[in-house]
Amino acid sequence: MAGTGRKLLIGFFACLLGWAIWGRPAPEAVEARPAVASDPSPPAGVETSEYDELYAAFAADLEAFRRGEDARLDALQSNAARLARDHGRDDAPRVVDFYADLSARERRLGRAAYDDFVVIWERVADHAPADWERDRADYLRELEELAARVLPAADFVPAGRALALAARLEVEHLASMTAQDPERGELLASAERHLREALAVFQRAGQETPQLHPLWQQGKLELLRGADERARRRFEVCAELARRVRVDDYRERALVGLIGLARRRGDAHRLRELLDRLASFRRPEECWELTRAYALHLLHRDEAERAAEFLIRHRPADPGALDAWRHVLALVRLRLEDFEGARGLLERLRGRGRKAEDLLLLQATLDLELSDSAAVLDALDRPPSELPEMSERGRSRAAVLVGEAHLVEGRPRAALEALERARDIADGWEARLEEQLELETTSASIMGEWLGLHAVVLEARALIDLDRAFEAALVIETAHGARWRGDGARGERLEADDLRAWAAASEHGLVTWVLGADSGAVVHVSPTGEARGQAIARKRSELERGARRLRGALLSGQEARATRLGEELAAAVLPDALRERLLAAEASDGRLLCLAHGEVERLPLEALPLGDESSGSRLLDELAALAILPELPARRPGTAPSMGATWQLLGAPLDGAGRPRLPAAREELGVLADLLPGAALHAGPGFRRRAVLDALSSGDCLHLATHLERSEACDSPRYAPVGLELSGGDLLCAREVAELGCRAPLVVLAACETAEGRQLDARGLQGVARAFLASGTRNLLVTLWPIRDEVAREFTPLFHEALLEGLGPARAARRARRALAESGVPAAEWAAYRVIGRD
Amino acid sequence: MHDPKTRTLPPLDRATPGELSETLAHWDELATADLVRLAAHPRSARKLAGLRAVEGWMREREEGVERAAEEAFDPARCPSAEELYDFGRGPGFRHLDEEREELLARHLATCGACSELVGSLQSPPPLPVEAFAPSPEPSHLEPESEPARPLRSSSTWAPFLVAASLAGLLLVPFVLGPRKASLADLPAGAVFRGQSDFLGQGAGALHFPRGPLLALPSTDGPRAIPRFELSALPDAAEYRVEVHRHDGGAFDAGNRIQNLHASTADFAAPSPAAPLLEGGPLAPGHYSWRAFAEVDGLERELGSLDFEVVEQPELAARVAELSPSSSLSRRVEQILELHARGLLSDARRLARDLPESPEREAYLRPPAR
Repeated sequence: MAGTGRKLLIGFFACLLGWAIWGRPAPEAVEARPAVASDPSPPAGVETSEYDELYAAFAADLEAFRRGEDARLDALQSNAARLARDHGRDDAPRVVDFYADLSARERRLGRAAYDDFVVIWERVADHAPADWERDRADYLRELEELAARVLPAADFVPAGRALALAARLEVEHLASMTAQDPERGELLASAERHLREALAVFQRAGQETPQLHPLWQQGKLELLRGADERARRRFEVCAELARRVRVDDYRERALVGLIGLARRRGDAHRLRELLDRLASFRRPEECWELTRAYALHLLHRDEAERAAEFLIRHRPADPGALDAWRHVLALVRLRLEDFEGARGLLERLRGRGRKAEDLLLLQATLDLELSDSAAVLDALDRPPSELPEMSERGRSRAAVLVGEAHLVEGRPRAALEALERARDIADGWEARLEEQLELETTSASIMGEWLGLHAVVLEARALIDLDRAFEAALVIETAHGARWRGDGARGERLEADDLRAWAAASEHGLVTWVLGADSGAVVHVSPTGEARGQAIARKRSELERGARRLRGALLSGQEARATRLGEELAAAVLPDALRERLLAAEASDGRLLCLAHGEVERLPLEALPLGDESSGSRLLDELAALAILPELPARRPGTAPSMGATWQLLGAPLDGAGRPRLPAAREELGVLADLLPGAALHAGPGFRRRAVLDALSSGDCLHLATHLERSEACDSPRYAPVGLELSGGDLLCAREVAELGCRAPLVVLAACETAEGRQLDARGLQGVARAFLASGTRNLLVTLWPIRDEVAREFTPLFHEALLEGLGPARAARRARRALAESGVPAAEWAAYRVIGRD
Repeated sequence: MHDPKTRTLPPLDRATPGELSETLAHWDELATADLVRLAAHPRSARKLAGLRAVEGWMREREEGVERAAEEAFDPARCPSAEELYDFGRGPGFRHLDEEREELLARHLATCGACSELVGSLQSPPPLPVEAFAPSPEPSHLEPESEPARPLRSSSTWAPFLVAASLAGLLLVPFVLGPRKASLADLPAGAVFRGQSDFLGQGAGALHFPRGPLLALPSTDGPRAIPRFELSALPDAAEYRVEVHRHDGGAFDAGNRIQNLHASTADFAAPSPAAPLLEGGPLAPGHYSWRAFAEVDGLERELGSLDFEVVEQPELAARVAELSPSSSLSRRVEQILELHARGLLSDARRLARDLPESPEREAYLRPPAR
């Protein structure tokens, strides 16, 4: 007990001194003072760590030394060295060196200047909000005078504190201004200059912890400018520095800033990563921002029930956060169709200072759910001047609500107008972000997450209602990959003639889907350009469930159950026009281009049964040769290249000890080498990085028979952390493939789950297959789930034989699948293989 | 061998296990159309694939033997088939004395033909599918006895005789009826080109139950007790499993009927790397389960899987009769039967209670898909 008491005492004293001298953040004029890092009293009962004790001793010595006690220098240097050596605090010796170079008098003068700063800080912190506007200019002047006086001194560090506080006051002033305010430009420039000078002061003194505050302020300033990417970089630097110097308060602030940025660019994957980072040192019950962001994340993942449970378990203790909590809970209640619960929460929020935009949109969403579309239109279908000031996202959401209300009222033309407005806002937002950053390299999705595919579904349905199904297909395709096409047409819009050309390139035309949270739409475009569309009355979560159950039934050999599930899925997602066409077709090997978006991309379309008891049920694979694309890779399909070109056969990796990892892969490559006499073979010991890179850049067709492995070493902002295994345990990551420029006519990826990847709304699965497509590969043979080594050995020679007969990849894959199926191989094996591409 | 294409196929949905086994034993006598039906039917597809693998293996070995015989066999110099068999430690081998073993080892170092033959013994053949077939009645199980020993010959035509003895070994179950099952009979997993691990996007880290799950007799009627098996997530403090009952269709989310929690500390046995959560009893019907891991206070979804609790009263009664004191061979036979019928979750549950062995661990390895 005595030891614990001593530690607590030391901790208390050390925190008090350390906070005041070294790591004390600048005062908080508006926000609550940080609760943890700067709190001078350690929580009761919490034992201090070795680091805390050492840091406390260091801070006490530093304070005494600055006040003129030269005798403390040895202890100070010793503790600084230990902090650097044992705890990675390399800045500690630099801080000591700075003060050790000063005379005792210089140090005392510096300490006195710091006291002057603290006086101003305390006045700012305690200032009554009512007089704030009047007094802000006085504070700014005082801080600038202090900085000017101290900067020429030997201990110039307090000048940095004064400049940082001045910038803080300016940034907060800027946040309360409108974009049109005439003072804004000048204030932006002044705040930027103050922050830059403050950082320069701290850097010159070798002090890192005091940099946290201006770095965080710089992030906020860039956000106010709309420079999201620069803000992100500032917050990242701040978060990393805070982690290194162990100031969790600023780490939290920086991560909260990054979470806001991820949301602004519709980057759900990045958002989840940031939440995990924040949760690694903050519990949800002590950080409302974490609770809020996680609950919204669940809500957007169609997990309203879990979001509700989480919110109720983590009701914020801070009364200031309660209204925000009620707002999020109301959104969740709406999603759970608990309309009375949502209404009750909304009523409690009225007149309590919530943003008018939030309340307006919440009320309109509730009205729409209660089928009161007239109320929605009355509230939102007005000129901008009659609406409260709204964010861009708020305006787009309002337009979507108006569109949906018109659609409910049976006015598709008016709905279309509103929905086009919503899409234009999203397009403009995306274009502005694109000016700062290539969104293609990230997991961001403006259409999928920021606008939401629900808006695209509504627009497609409005067009279908107006008998303009072809335009609906165009809208769907544009939303699923408008800005990053692979043929240099970046930023160009897909035109009607482009889509007609794609439909005309396949005997059965093309079919495209859009799946929103609540419903979807599908359009078939025939080779002659006639389009017919229909709504899909299934939720995204239902289709995901159906696809999973079908896959499970296939893999566990429950073929009768698979047939039943397949029939349900086929009825839900395949347009009637297409079913009729396929069942009536004389030939069964016509190609059908499937622009598979959302959950359809994971669906084993090939194994879906069509027909009925009278006509007999046949699998989609028996009726057409499917080519799948997650988005149109170019404006026009182009001419199919010859598949009889030179082949490079690669695979059969060896482990670190030289043992073969896949016995059948070696045999498979041997069989293919006999089949393709001109092919180059790189198997076993020859399956090394150099050979693979050469093959990828050769322009030849490639056949890869290997493992697909998950590895954090392969992580990237866009692609799933997966790679193709090479001999010796080496991995070729998906992200590397994307950068290699593999413009092969055809790549066979005979490994497990090569079609899979990280699912991004409106952008599809981002894995090794997508990396090949992004790098310029025209066609791929991929797998939907893990494949047996020995079945791959059977399947791929059949595929190559069909290619040698002159069939394109889609037809060749179909023939190989049919051959296996007809010889009695279960669908679990043959339905895994699919062609992604355009022949 | 019978004349090919003369046997008729019984209705597969209604065939008894005995009829199915009989048909499978003579699969090469079926007409092509019947063979396709047999290969496509869930009750027989896997067994047929196994039988085909056996035949392929035997043909490959025979060809190897013939080739070796043609190319390099020297009757004057090579040891007898019996000796080679014993040296290769084929099933039922006899120990050779050390001196003889040394001599043979030196011979094998220079004789490719004999070396290949011995090597063929060290590479086990695919498991004969008929070994999966249960006895018609539990009372037919044979008492504990010495392992069956293959027929042997003193001919010096070693390669042919080794092949013949191997073939004989494989045919023992067909000719003599079921032999005593052992741990070595547990099926080894197939080789896959990767592992399903796209978390939250399918089965992911969820392994069992999946597919059909056998309902056992209980006072409340037939009930299955699921055991939820998943891969561990690093840093997880707690796991949660939701069980939903649904209508068996493609889209129904169903209702949550169980919500199970377990902390990482609960998984000290059998292994913290393989969390197992015991569920409550479930009546026949369709179910989904979702699993979550809590890391730093936030949940991460690990995936979702579906299963169906099915009634098979006869089989359930036999499984219910088993106890840890039942003989090993009986327990293994029961596992093999469950496995062959696609009741993988039940087979796995029984396999967990087997004595530790490499075969058991191989069988319990998480599936690739």
